[in-house]
Amino acid sequence: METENGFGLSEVFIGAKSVLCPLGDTPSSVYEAMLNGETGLQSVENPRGVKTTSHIGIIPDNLIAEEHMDSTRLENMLSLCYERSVSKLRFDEFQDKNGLVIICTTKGNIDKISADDDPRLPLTRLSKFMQQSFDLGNEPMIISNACISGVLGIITAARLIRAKKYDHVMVLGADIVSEFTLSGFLALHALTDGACQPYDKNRKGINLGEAASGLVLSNDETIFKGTFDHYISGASANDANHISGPSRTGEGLYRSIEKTLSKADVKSEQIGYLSAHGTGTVFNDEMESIAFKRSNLSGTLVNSLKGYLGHTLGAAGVIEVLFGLEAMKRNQLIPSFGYQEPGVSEPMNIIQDAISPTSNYFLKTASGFGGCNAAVLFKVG
Amino acid sequence: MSLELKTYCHVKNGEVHINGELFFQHMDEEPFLRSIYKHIGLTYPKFFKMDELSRLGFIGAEMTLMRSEVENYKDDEIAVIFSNCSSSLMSDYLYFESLQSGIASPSQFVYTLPNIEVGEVCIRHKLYGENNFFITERFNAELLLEQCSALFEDNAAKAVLIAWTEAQGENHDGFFAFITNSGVEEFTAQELTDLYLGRG
Repeated sequence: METENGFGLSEVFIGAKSVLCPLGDTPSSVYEAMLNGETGLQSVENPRGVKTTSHIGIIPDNLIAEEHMDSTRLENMLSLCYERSVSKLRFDEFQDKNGLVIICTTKGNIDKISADDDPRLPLTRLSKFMQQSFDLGNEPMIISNACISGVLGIITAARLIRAKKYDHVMVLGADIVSEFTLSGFLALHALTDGACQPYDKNRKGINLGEAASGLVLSNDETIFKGTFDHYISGASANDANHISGPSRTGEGLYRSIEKTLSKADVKSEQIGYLSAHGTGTVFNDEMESIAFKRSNLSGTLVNSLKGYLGHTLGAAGVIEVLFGLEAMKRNQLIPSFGYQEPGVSEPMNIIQDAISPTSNYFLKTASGFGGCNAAVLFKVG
Repeated sequence: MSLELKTYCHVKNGEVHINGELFFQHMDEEPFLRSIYKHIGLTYPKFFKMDELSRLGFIGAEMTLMRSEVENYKDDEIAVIFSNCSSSLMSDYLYFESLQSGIASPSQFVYTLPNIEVGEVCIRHKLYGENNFFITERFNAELLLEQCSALFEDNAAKAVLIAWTEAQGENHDGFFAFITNSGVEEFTAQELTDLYLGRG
């Protein structure tokens, strides 16, 4: 089944999208809501008991099963995305040994933290839960690498397929909005009291959102019932600079983009759309503008989806790749919500109207605590 | 292209073994990792700001990389792929306690991600290469070596520092290995597991 694409790299196909987020639970309905300018974020007083007012994104109760002792909110989110992604495949490929599920999360069931050791708290529980619930052929792999977990999950999946370790890999990203994370970002002065405004002059910080999302990568395009796209290349790189502050020169992000493009021999001018990290903090967005300038991407059509979805942490890479692929397929990019006036030191071509991409190459980037950065390239259609 | 083990290091039960040989034994009153820090003559004040998990990763990486001829690699050719079972659970509880006490500690919150440990290693050794952090029930040699092969296959690294790091108070279970792709015979997961278990 192995075929080569035009880049001398073996083909990896990507499809079977699933999503669960404040704006809805199907890729098309959420995409259309974003195009209509709807946001999933709402101002909440004392969210999750944290003494502040902030915009957060919460999945509506009617979209998600109530939690029980044996299946938490996060586990229900993962299950739902797993089932929906599988429903878009001809068979459930993951009950066999040649299929693997990768779970990407920063904090898992962190809402279960208490003075007593709650058995649901350790991340390894997610792996056992998914394997038992769906009779999976392999123990799911868990990646917990801050805010690049989702993008790293996709890159890891493609590498495992190219190294012939597995034929099919499902990448599931999920994180919830909890007292733990809200209070932490508040303590770091990273939360804004209003709606986040990525790349805008008046941006003051992030909004947190909860989401789960799934994508399937495979060496066999016939497993997909519907459409699929092409994974081309990806890379991660550390800033080697600071554990909680982005590099001033955007070193790791720049390097991850350069590696991703050079592996595929694609030039930055060929990128039709860039889905950036765009958290809305002063330092992150500024760092990105510098890295994009160094990568010759200042003129590339770019947006951040954080104004619609909030920062969904471990899910962010998966859900933002999903909507990037969806927008490319529909030939209408999503305007960057919350952006009005330029507010970073290097120029950026921020999407303000639902225009068409300039080519079928789609680049996604992410950055996170620990100085980590990642980039991933797709060809759509 | 075959996997080759260059160096490995245990930091466990008050002892450090490098390539299977006893390198350090904890005798003094200092906490174990501080005691190693002094023994190897480090001067790196940031070490004292780290949580226990990052200190363990930092110390283990220091002793492993020191013996792995890292100068032969460019600054982005060494990947750092770590794993453990508890993620950052100990720091999660410390941060949670600060939150309960009414003053949420930003410096403790930063350590509530396991990959901060990888970040500390990259900062120290100026490594701009690939990173990943896997959560596994127990030391998983198959997964870690599979990652090495997948990175080498993708030309994403020429060497990988892999590790298993668990730290709970003064209980440490650290195992570090420097893997290259220059082997003649394939280094196997069974061999790595045996080394981790001290059967090598």
